[in-house]
Amino acid sequence: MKTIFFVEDDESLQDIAGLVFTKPQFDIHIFSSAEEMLTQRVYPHVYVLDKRLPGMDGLELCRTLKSDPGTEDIPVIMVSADPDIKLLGTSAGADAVLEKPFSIYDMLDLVTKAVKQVS
Amino acid sequence: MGKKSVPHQSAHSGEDAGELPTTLGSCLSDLRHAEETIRCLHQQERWLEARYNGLFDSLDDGFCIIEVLSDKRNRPVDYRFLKVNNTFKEQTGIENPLGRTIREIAPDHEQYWLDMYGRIAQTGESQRFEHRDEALGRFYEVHAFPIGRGELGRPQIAVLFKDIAARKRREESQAYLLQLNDRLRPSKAADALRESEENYRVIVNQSIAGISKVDRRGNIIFTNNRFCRMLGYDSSELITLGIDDIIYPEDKERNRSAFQALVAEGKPYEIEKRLVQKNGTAIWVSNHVSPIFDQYGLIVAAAIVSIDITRQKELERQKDEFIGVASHELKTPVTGIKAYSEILTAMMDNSMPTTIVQLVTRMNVQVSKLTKLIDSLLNTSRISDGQLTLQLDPLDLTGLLEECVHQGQLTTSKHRIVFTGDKLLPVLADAERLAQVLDNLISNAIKYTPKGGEILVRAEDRGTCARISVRDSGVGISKGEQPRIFNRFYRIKGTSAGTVSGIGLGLYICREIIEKHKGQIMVESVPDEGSTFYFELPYILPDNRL
Repeated sequence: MKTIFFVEDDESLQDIAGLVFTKPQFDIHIFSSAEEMLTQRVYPHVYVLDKRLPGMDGLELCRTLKSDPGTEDIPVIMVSADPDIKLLGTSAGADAVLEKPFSIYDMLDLVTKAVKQVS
Repeated sequence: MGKKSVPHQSAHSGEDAGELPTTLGSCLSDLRHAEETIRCLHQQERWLEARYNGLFDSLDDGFCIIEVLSDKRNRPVDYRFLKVNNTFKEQTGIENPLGRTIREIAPDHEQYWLDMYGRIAQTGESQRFEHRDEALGRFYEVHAFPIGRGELGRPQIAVLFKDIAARKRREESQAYLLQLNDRLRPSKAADALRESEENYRVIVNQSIAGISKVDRRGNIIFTNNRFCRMLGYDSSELITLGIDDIIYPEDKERNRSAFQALVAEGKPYEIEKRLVQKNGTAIWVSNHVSPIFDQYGLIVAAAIVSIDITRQKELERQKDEFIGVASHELKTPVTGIKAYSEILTAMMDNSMPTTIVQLVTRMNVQVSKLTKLIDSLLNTSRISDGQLTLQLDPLDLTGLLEECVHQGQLTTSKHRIVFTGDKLLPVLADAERLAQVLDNLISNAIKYTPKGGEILVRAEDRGTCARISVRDSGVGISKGEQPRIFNRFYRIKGTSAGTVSGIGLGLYICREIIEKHKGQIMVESVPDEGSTFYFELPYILPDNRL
């Protein structure tokens, strides 16, 4: 079972993530803010981060994870409505980006590829 | 000149050391005679030249012979002094002009003189005229006439001229005195003229538009009250400035090229630009600029009508900002709707009632439309902000065209989309953005073509560029509407076209994307027969960089 840390403040997208990434294939942990996620003492197989978050934003969180030796090798997928997310996300160190509105199949595909990469 | 008799020497005289034969001696004699003739001719030429020079130097007026220098398009760009008389320096203040051009001597010399001499050279007709020479600070009365062409084929012109600045001042004083006299003893005609001038002054000064006049070099020479109020200057302050002094730095270059085209070709223009008020604040104006001609048809000044559009620009900015924020905010809920719809579709099986399956399918179609609409709004907002960026890479257009045609065909079973054309060279382009343009043109063609109709997508190799066209057999677009269809939010009028959905952004976005690629997009259309939209993109050449 692959662990996903999903950081998104929009409740409907949290709900959708819960419906898409189900056991036994995935173990999803949903957080509403970067600060809440950073309190975790365990590491996931993949991070999915929304760019716009209350407090620390997704790009800053991505840079933090990529500069920490404990998390730098864990894939990060950045999600945003910003049309410049491709450029912004990769500059912050994200391994993949997904522009809203996206298809759940695209998200599923990216997460599956990312966890395979870690395995 | 008469032929001199030279006595022949005898071949048998024995006096010459070499004892030359008679014929050779005769030849030598002829040669000496010819040399003598040439010497006489040169003497005569020098004498004539000295006489002419003496004559020119004795003139009270300035005199010079010039050759007119033209560019490749045969437009006069300069002239060189070949001969000048003694009075020349006194009349012009120019020292050692021979062999030098006027642009070397006075770089600011007005184009007026070049145009005038160019015209004389071209028509072969002499001209008499009076004109102020701003660069030399004099006023000349001139008689110029063509005298043929020099060794390099350049036209030469003789110019007889006189500085009449003092006479002009006298004339102006006399005119002023006459005017004063008229005022003191008003006549009917003077009253009518004064009334007409007063009407004109009131109309110009009460105009809601700023009105100004600038000379060929861009110096402000007249402003109305409104223009002064727009900028916070007095009229007396503005006429000491050049138009360049009041233009916002980033807009100067754009304005300069348009103004130069007006001065050179008499081409009126409209421009939106920023002016800087006396207190440093920038305002937006829409300017309509037209040339003013003198009696010879030469451009002497420009009339500028300026309308303050600062408020309109601010509203446009707010609208674009609102569209940007609103469409950005809509993306997250649309992601939710799309995801729920996909989850529903995935959960459906054969046991589901057909009605539910149909409703979910329709919902998916509507979500796709909403997504496209949001993308269009966001793109428009980004274009207005100058944020539409391209990821440029060498691109095989044919592959992209085939893919877009295939995708377009998947969206309709009621039309046939045909792709035909030449093999194209690569272009430097953003594949995603170009696909957006093609999708838009193809989906428009589908929308406007009656069921059963054909849409033709054609690729054409034009040598230095590729031309892509999309032809429909729809309602067509009238001539009057064609120039406006690429405008923001413009929708084609007409009953049948009015039934087609859309918000009028697609073609606007297409034009912006194509122009960002240094290409151009156009339309040819005949009402009730159909339209062909086509765009051209330059091939990758060594000097072809965006």
